[in-house]
Amino acid sequence: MKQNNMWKKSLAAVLSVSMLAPGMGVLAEEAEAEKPYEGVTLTWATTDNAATGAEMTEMVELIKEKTGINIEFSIVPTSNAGEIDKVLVGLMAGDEIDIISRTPVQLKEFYNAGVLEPLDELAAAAGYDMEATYGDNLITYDDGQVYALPEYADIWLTYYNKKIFDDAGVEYPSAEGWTWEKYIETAKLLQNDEEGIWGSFMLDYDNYNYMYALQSGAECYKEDGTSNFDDEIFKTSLKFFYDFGNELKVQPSSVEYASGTYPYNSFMVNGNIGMFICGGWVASTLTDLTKYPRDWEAGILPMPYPEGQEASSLYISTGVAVPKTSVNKDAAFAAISCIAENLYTLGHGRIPVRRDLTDEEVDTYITEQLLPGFEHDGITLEDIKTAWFDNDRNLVFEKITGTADTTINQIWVEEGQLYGQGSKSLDEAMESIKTRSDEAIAEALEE
Amino acid sequence: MEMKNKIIKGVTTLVLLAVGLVCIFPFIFMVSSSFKLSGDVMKFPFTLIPDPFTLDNIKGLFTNGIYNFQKWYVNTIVMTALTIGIKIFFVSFTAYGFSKIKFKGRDAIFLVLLSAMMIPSDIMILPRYMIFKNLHILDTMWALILPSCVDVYFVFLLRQSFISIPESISEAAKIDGCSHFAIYRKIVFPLAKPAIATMSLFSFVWAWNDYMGPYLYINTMDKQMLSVGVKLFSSGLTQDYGAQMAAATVVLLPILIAFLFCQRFFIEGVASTGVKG
Amino acid sequence: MKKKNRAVKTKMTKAEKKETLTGYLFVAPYLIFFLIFTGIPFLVAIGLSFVNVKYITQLDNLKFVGLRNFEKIFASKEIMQSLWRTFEYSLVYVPLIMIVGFGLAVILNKGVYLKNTLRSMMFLPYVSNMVAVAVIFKVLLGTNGPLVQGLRSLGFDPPILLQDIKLALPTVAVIAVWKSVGLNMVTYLGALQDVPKELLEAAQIDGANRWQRVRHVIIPMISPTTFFLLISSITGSLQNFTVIQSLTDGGPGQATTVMSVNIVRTAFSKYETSLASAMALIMFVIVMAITLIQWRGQKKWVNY
Repeated sequence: MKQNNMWKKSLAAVLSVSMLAPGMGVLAEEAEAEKPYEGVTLTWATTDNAATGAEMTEMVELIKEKTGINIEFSIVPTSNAGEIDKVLVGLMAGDEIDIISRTPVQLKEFYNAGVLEPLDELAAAAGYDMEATYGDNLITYDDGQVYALPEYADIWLTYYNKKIFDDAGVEYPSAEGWTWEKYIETAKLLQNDEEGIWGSFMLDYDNYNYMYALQSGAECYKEDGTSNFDDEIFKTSLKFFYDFGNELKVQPSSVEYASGTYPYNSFMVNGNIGMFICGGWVASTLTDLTKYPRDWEAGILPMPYPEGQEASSLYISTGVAVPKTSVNKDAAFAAISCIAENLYTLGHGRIPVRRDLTDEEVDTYITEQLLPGFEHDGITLEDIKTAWFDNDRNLVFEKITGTADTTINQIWVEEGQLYGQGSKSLDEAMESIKTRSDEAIAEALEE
Repeated sequence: MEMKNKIIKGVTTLVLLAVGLVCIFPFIFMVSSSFKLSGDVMKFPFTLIPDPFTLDNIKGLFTNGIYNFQKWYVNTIVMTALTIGIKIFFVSFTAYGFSKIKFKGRDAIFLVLLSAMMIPSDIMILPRYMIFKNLHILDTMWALILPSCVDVYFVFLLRQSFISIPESISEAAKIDGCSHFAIYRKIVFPLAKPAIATMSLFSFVWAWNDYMGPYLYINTMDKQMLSVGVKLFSSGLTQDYGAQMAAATVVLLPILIAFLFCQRFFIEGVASTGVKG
Repeated sequence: MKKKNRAVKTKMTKAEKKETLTGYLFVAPYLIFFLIFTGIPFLVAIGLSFVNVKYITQLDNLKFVGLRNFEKIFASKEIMQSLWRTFEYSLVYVPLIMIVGFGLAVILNKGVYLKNTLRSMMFLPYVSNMVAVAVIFKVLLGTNGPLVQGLRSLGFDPPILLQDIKLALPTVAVIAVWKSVGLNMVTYLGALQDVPKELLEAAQIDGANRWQRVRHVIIPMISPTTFFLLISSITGSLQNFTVIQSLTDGGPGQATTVMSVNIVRTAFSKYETSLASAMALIMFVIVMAITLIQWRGQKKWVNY
């Protein structure tokens, strides 16, 4: 998992002081400069949720202001895992789209399909130093070229409902030494079957199955290229996750998740969940009090980590890219660099992936942009810094990446579910994960 | 005997009524839920009459300021109407050719068409997308209408129905000097009205409910159809069951009304044509 | 009658030619559209299944691989299992929808009050939207659903049907039958109305009881409808992607991952375009074979 380590290092670097880059100065200059793309209209393919949100609207205005480019949306309903990515289908058929944003894992399919424009030449033509602004966070693939600029990072959190802590007479947890063991202990205290209160809550995504292993530093592939899932740590990880619902009974069981009764926003809507482990994107539901009105306060903590290990959190980033079919690639590049540089400044809980920000800039950003949204919950600068801007915390990429990764993630979901619902024993499930993954890898390498 | 028959009839009615209730329960659930507060939707046991009763879910659909439900409604109606209109003539004309005219290779061609019914349609998504693009009908409702007009299912259905129209009728017309087109227009088409009514009803339902088509082939928001619109609308409201059910109700309503209306028409049609197997 | 026909036939070769021409004129517009929207895309798909394409934009390494994709499919335990599941699904779906559809039609046609109301009620699921229905079913059959809670209060320990590794597949098939049986029923009802009353009355006078009338008069009389519904139900049983995707997503484990689900996943989440095309082609050949056998066999029992 070379890539993981690279990400870890680089993200830490982003958040640390960097004297090299010109910083905000560049931005100010750009705003002053004339707008070479005045009047150009570009198409941004995005999902319904994103396009109707305030963040997108503000971003479009900002692009207009800084570059003179008009943005039009091509809106697609959010597709779930396993559903057809319409944008990719469209691009393969030659649809003219200028801007897309996806996670690096998703963008890899686009790269494989040959529909992405490498950015190096575009950057050179624009006299833009990508390296200085994003460093190692630039999204590159096998041929070494840059294919996307990182837009923002998403770092996992522990969300908790202060009211449930108060009712149970449990003290609010603190970030210091917030391990999984402590998390479990707290969840047990909060669990209240009579009141229908769940101490803990997670979803049924692939990564919950193996997060404990990843946080323990496990490698997913062996040196010889086969999968490493016969390592004891993966077995521990699988058991660890399903024990919450099956043994400890402090969170809904796998069956309940699968029957669709607990979607991602249950924590906000139901008000009967003590703690919730999920990506940082859920924080946007905290700040949206019109959609999710509530009479309780929420708190945030970093994600728990295995005891005896270094503190770590899962994370994923999102990149913006220019498809080959774009008619005005130079304008598209101007637009995506504007997005990547500025998206976080709009104040929607995004974590910048720029390496040229100073500590003060980060502080100002948090106080001015992030905190107002969390006013209702009384979340502090310190809370956010420890959760999202802690240089000592390891960041672990949230998915398995490598040969046949899509298939392997699917295998984890399927086998995990079977174990979680009691159809397979732990050993059977692990053995199946190992052999099926190896078959998938062999098949992928054969080509 | 008479009495016994009546009792049997009554009991059968009751049993079927129970089956019928199972069939419509989801709809009752849906309609009832769309007038409930979101929090009340999942309450157990289920209550039929919403308490408190709210119109907010329905209002929310048309006044949310983001999604143009009215526009989607119009699009869907126009698309469905065109689909049915074109399909009726296109398909019945073709079915006539396959049933009432004896030409070389007819059965072979028909068999090929029939086999197309068995093609897993997902595999044609990509090639179709490219063809639509080349025909410049991508992102227009024609990308939905034209492919659905070559529906083999209905050619098959109408062919079966035309076959059941006695050969003697059209033979007689032929002897009177009628061309095939005249026979089609004056005799076969009118006689097959019930089958055509059925076909229209099903085309309506399929066109109206189709999700994959508009999802893949329509890009512009203002040209979008209701089925995708509802998904757009509800994906931001994963747990707002009240709003989701309201959206589902509003979408299904025209179908339900059309169904109740058409049903009478085609059942009576069957009785009045006097076509016997 | 026969003699006359033959006599006419030998004389009228010219008329026959004209007939053929008219025939082609009638079906040509349709065939052209068919070729564009189904024929060509399908031929492309067939072509794809003999090469090694992953993304249609990356054709520089395009290689003809012969039957490699097919060999891969038959060697893959997972794909073969999903093929087997498709059969299991059809084995529940087809008989159930044929029998229930016919049964409901016969009962509705004669022997109930409120005929029209009942008919409407039973047809309603057919016009509904599967995705909306799936949400409701998941709630109804879920852990806190009325079915499970009701049975629990009676002291049973009911399985969660859609999450049970053995029961999920038949459950999905039964829900699919619930959804589509209205179509079969209404089609049968139409056919039943066409059965001549005199024939039934004659049978009754001859002393045939209700069952005998169904068996010896109705079933033979409506056999063309049965043939049509049988073919369309078999085809329908294979186009089950939406039903399964919305109800179980192919799970639990791979319990409901049938071929249709597998094909879509192979094509659009693994991007194994050629492999997916080959899988689709195999499905196509299987259904074709089944249909051809029926087509041949129809003369024995279909009564035009």
